[in-house]
Amino acid sequence: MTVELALLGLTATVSALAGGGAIAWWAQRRWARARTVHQALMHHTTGQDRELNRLRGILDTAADAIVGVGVDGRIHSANPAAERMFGRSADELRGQPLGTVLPDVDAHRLASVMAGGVLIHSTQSRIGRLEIDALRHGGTAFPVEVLVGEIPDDPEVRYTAIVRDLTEMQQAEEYLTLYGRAVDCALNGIFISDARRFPQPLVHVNPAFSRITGYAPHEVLGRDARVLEGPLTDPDDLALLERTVKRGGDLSITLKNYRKDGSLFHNKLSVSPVRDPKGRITHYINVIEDVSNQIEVKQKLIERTARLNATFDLSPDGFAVFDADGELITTNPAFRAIVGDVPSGQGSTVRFDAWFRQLCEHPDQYRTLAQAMQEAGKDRLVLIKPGRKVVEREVRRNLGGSGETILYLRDITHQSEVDRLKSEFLATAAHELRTPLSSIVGFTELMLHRRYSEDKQKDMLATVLRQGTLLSNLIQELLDLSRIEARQGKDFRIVPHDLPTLVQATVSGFCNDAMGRAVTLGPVPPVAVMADPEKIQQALTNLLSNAFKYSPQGGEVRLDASIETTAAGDWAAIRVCDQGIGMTPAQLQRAFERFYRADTSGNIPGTGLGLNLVKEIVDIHGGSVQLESQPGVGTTAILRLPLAPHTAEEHTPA
Amino acid sequence: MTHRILIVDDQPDIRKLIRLTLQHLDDAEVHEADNGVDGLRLAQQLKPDLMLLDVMMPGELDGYQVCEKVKKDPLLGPHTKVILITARAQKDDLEAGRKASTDAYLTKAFSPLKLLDLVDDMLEGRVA
Repeated sequence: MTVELALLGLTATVSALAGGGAIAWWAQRRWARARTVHQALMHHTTGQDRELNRLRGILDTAADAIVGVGVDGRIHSANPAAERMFGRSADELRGQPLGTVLPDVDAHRLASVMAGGVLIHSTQSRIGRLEIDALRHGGTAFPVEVLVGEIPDDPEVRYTAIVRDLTEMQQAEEYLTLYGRAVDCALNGIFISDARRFPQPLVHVNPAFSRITGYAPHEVLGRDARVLEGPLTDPDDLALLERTVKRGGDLSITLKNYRKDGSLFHNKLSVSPVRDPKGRITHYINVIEDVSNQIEVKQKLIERTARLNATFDLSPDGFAVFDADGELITTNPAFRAIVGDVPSGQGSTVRFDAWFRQLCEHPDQYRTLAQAMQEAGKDRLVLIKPGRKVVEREVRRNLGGSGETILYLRDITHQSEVDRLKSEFLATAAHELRTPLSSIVGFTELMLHRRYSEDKQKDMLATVLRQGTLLSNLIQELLDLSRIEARQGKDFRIVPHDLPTLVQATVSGFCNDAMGRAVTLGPVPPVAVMADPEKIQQALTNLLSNAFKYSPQGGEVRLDASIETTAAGDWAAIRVCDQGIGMTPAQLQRAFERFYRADTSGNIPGTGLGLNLVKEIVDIHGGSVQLESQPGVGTTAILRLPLAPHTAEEHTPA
Repeated sequence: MTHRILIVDDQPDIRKLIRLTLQHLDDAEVHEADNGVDGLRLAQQLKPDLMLLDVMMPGELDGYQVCEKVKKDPLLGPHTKVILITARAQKDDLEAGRKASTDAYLTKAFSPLKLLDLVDDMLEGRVA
């Protein structure tokens, strides 16, 4: 009977709940379950014990504690859930004041709770609700929600109380608060948009969102995320975003977005959908991060790397880079041009050293990379493989990097050759200058301190004069050469010039030689050549002078010119022919060398610089000079100058 | 006693200058060559007391080489004194001369009177 009454009370409570709408969501669910009990009760009234047993079973398995309370406020009955919740058996609980488990709740309090409770219109019953701390056996307090229903006409059980432990729920709420706080504190901006409306409005933004975008919450709530888009936002990115979002997928993408003030920022956006229990997407959680700095740094790094790579590739100096383990990582084109391809399998610097050593002229003097690194500055190596080269080497550990070793090579073959030629030239020039000086000083001293016959004196003075003149010519020609070399033709005024006029001026300005011979002038075509007239006259004068000097026994010295056409263009070929002593092939080969004299007898004066000067001059004109000679027959010098373009003639001022 | 002197120089004016200078010696017999090969051959042939040897000469043998060959020649070396004449008087050149075992070094442009003193000293040393 007790059970039946408790069930009746419960039914009343449940009925009240059913009519009272949502007090708490879980209460509604309990109602659904309890309605079954109510229906069973209806069957019970028909008097079927089987049904009663079934009802008892339901009470016994209920998750919430259900307690029947008498009018005196004492516990009348309790289900197994109540036993578990309060830590006492139903027998122990029975007869105890309700305050034992729900402190301060007595009959009076229950009556006032009911009075303040909600009236359920459909059943005209009331339901009261309390949120208090309950006591477990042993005195532990825990939060509970209590729903109280009244059974007005039951003599034993006046109230039924459904008690639910709120511990978990409170924890959940606490978590929610913490999560909310976490969202607010997050460095990343977070906004939540409502997926069920269109366009999906923002329903929540956190402070970081406002910090990143410059929008206060009230400025964006209700608007959609397009507020962040602008001219540079990539439509493809947006399309991808839309596709992914519609599919319900997660996406992380970096967009070009705009702040409220119109400034661009790189927004790393992560979107994740939120679904309801039925799987429909209700919201999107959007996490945003301003990665502008990272993007800029990355971009700068990419640019810098590209720049360095280009420099590395274009550098005329060779580089090889080894990692911290001595593994060869890379070489640039210049490095490979200097030493050739490094054979594969040069795993370590030790093996590299072994390979590099055998390229050197003096392998025994080779310093390893490790040794070279110890020494500050560069060392110089002479390589014999793959070709003879002089290289400057420096080895350095890249301290800023990850312990890489950088080998630097500069090909100074040309430079060292130039250096060698320069010092050789200087030594030779000094020698050549001292030789005439020796005669001048020597003969003069002898004449001052010793007595000689008049003839002897004349001979000595003639020698001094000759050597003095030679010295003067030498100095003049050295200066001419050095000026041409230093200026590289910058002081040349190469313009179209009438060839016959040029030739005539040279020939008429040329002093007849000691034998009274003059130049025989052959045909010269009336064309214009590209020439600096002063320099070309100097070159022609040198050729004529040689022709006379090297035909001491006489003979004709003839100058003529003709037009030659080659693949490279049209030329005026000016020939200076003599019928002199000529040159052997060996002499001919060296004729353009500085200070080289075909005559070693000393009978023909000369500096050994004249032909070299001619060559320098015509080279700068883009022309050429060539010698043809046979010993005892004579020599022909051919000087070729480019013809002036016809347009140049037509453009002469009217 | 007549001293035999050999001048080896490719420059005719220098040979002329040296010959003119040596005329002021008593009893000198002066010979000339204008290149190293001829110079060495003449030296072996004449066994001169003194050679005046230009360093820079065209041809197969320069002055250093001739000097070295003369000094290493058992028939000539102890007997023939050598004076190298050069326009180059850098450290390297002096060193090369020392290696070739020259007896003296004369730098262009030289004073003929000093040359005369030098030759005089060397030949007197020979006599002594």
